[in-house]
Order: sequence, then structure tokens, then C-alpha cells
Amino acid sequence: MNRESYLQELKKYLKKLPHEDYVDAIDYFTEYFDDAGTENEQIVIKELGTPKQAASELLNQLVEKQTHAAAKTWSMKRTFWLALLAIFAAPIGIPLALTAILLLFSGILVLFSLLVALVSLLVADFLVAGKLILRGLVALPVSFSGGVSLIGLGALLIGIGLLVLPVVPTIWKITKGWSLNTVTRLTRKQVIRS
Amino acid sequence: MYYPVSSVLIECIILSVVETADSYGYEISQTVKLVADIKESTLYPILKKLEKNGDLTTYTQIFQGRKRKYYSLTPVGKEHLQFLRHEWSKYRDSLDAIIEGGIRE
Repeated sequence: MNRESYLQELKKYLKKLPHEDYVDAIDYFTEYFDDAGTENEQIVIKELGTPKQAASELLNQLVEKQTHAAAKTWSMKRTFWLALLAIFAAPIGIPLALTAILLLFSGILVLFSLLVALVSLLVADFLVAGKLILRGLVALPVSFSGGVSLIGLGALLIGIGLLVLPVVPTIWKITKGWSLNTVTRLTRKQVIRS
Repeated sequence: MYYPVSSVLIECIILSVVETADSYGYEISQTVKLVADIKESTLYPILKKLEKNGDLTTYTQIFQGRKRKYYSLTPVGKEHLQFLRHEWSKYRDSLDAIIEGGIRE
């Protein structure tokens, strides 16, 4: 591999950086090669490691330096994209990272669907309860015992519904907390401590 | 070098290098490499951070028909360097006292 192909490949991996940062980084490495001189080209390449490795380390370090220091100048969005980039450039390879991300994503989706299902169940429960009580009231003149048992059933359903109701915010909290946690942990794991 | 060099110490080294005269990436890197086994992929983000924090400013100059980015120390960076130097001498003296002088708590 020579300097040109090395830089080409490095560009490929760093392309998604914010434009200004991308240009800065590429300029830096281009100048570095220039200053090292053609006779040291292979030494420099060996020192840097493969373009993929170098890009991965660079992105990780940039994320870490940003999150530790000048947090003001870096918006959340920028940090998020950098973190995502770091994951994709990581040596474990894109397929593995993609699988992990998709798995986590489906986990979050499952929790969310459970929540939706529970809410629908509760709505149905209250609707049925209302219907039963109304039916019971209407049936009272015809059959007192029948009417009362219908009203009783309706009341029972309302009771069950009220018992289950407080679970909804808890599950919502768990879903939210869990998804946020996994996303942050996923990004933090990629950062190489040095 | 056998002992690892932390990124804070590398900041101190970089600021010291550009204190006397402005310098460029390769030169700074070669100086840092005298004491630290460090890759460009680690050094560059540190330079970038110092620049973002306002310790360093950069300008481009033409050298042999191509661009070269120079780093120079700002007043903020000078102050930061003083702090880092002070911390370093405290650290070094304590270490020396223990390693060479056998000091105990």
C-alpha cells in the first residue's frame, strides 16, 4: 500500500465526519506524509496501522475528547453521529455491529409493543365493564338477580382495570430507561481507554 | 519508552513544544515520540482538543509549494501550560522522593 491508496481509504472511513472536521483530519495526515518524506512513507503507514484501524481509533478518540472537554462546542447531535460512526468503523466489523444494533432495536420495539398491548387491553376492559353495567341496569326490571350479577361483573372488571392501571407508567419508565441505557452503553463500549 | 504517558502529559509536552516557536504536526509528533509510544490517531485528537479549548491557534503557511498548518500558543494556552508545569514538577519531585529517596508516608 502506498501513501495515495492509504489516504484514499482513510477518506472513505472518515467521510461521514462533519465536513470541517473531515477536511482538517485529512489535511493533517496528508501534511504528515509530506513532512515525513517519501523515504519514510512505509514507516509511517506501518506506524498508523490499517486505514480502518486508524480511522476507528481517530473517531473513538475524537468522541472521547469531545465528551470529556469542550462539550459546549459539540452539540448532542454531533456527538451522537460521531459515536455511530465509531461503531461502524470498529474492528468487529459492520455486520456484527449492525446485528447488535438491530437486536437492541427489536428489544426496545418488543417492550414498546407490550406497552401498547397493555393499554389496549385496559381500554377494552373498561369498555366491556361499562357495557355490562348498562346491560345490567336495563335488565333489572326483567330479572333482578340477572341484572345485579351483570352489574357485579362490570364492577369486577373496573376493579381489575384499576388494579392494573398503575403498571402502565412503570413499564413506560422501564422501556425509556432501558433504551436510553443501552444506547449510551453501546457507544461507550467502543471507546478505547488510554 | 517503557512507561506509558498519559494524554494530560502529552498536552503538556505539546504546549511546551510550541511555546518557544510555532510548530507543525510532524515536528510536534516527532518530539512527543521521543518519550511516548503514541500513534497519530491518538495525537491528532489531542491537538484538536487543545485547539478547541483555545490553548492553540492555527495558521497555514506555504512550505516548498505546499500547505503546512502551524500551531501557536495563545495566552490561554500559556496559562494552562504554567499550571501543567507546576503540576508536573510537583508530581516529578514526589516520585523522585519515593523512588530515589525512599521516602515513606
